[in-house]
Amino acid sequence: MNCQGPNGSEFRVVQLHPTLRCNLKCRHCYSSSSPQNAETLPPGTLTGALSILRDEGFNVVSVSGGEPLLYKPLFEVLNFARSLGMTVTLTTNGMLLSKAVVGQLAETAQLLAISLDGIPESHNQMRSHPQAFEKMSRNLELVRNAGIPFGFIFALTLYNLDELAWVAQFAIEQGARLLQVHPLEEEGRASEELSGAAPDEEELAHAFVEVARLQALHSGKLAIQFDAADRVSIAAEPARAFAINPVENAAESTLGSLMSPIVLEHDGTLTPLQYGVSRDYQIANATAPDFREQITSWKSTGYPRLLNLCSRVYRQAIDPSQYTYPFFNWYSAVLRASSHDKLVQIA
Amino acid sequence: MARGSSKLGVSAASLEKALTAAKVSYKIERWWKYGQPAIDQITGVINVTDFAHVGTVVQQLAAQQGKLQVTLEVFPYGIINPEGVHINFNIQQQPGG
Repeated sequence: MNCQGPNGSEFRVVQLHPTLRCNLKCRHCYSSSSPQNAETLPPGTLTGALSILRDEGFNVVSVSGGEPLLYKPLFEVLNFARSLGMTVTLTTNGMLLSKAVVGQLAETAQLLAISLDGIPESHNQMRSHPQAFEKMSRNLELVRNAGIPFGFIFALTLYNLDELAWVAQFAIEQGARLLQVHPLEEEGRASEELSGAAPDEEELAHAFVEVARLQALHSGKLAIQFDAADRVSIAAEPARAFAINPVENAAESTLGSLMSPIVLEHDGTLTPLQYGVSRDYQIANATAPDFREQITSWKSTGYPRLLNLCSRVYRQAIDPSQYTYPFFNWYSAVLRASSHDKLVQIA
Repeated sequence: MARGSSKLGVSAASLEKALTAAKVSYKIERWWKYGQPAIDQITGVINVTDFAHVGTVVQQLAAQQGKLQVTLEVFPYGIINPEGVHINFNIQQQPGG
């Protein structure tokens, strides 16, 4: 049995957040990373965890943060992941890319994702840095020359859909192969600085139309990915939203066949699906000596509870009395539901 | 502040028609979490559990060379007793293609 989930069955993804240190203090940051935040995971903890997660069937490592290029042992960890045969991706703000760093990335990363939040003025405003766009765009030539496949990730807010066409044209001119449109999530610093700025479902519907238009316009030049869930699709395939019963032999199954993506956070917590999911649903902690045993235990206890949570999110998502528009942010819905459970318990 | 969509000229009233038309050409196959690039647009992973088929799969991917740039990596898993093979492939358009 290989559960599909939102990423499909062939990609079993571990997202790593090795540090919350960042050279920027972005307004929309869901992990509240900043230059003052020095929390990091030791490389030995990460490589030890990756060995176990490889055994558990995961085949993609995606490094995010914080700014991963500020994590000093980054390439030690990436080279280790590559030695395990894992596909490696890295998400960066692009400002710290140098010739030497790009050379190392060319050896280790199969896909580089660079954040781009709109026209230069909007990007700099979101990044709280007057030269964020200029510094990032100056480094793109290095990435192109190194031949690293790269793309841009655009954080969609309630107010910036009109800038997406400019972003797509810029991406093509720079030689990017991917433009990914991800709805803003009001978590971390975004919950304070951008309260009310997440796109509602009406805006997501407009965004879908615009993405389809731009994809048709730029077909063959740029792949455009829209990270919203389609209610009709998940109603037809509940397994894509983990709205299923637990598999019978879960304890004997690999974690990767049960659940993907998973997230290894800066403090060693391994969570299912999303950064910041309530610790009530955490899988294990990589800093604990019994990390492997914790994973095994979660398959029997935490996994059924998580599926129960996902089933509740699913039922609400496909209930016609609860919605007007066809798309929604599934990850955000799961995160909110996990936190709601916590609040109910406290009350 | 105005909605981004309000500057695009698609009214709320015409949204339903626009959605119907857009769904003909665009489908959301996967949805990825925040900060996770859509790796499926760039690369792929094939798990082959029948060793007899590994050569055939590799040959089929390699046959794309010439039309596309194909990079292949083959890793057995389940060492010491291999249970299968992961084939990572990366396909790019030929420069100028």
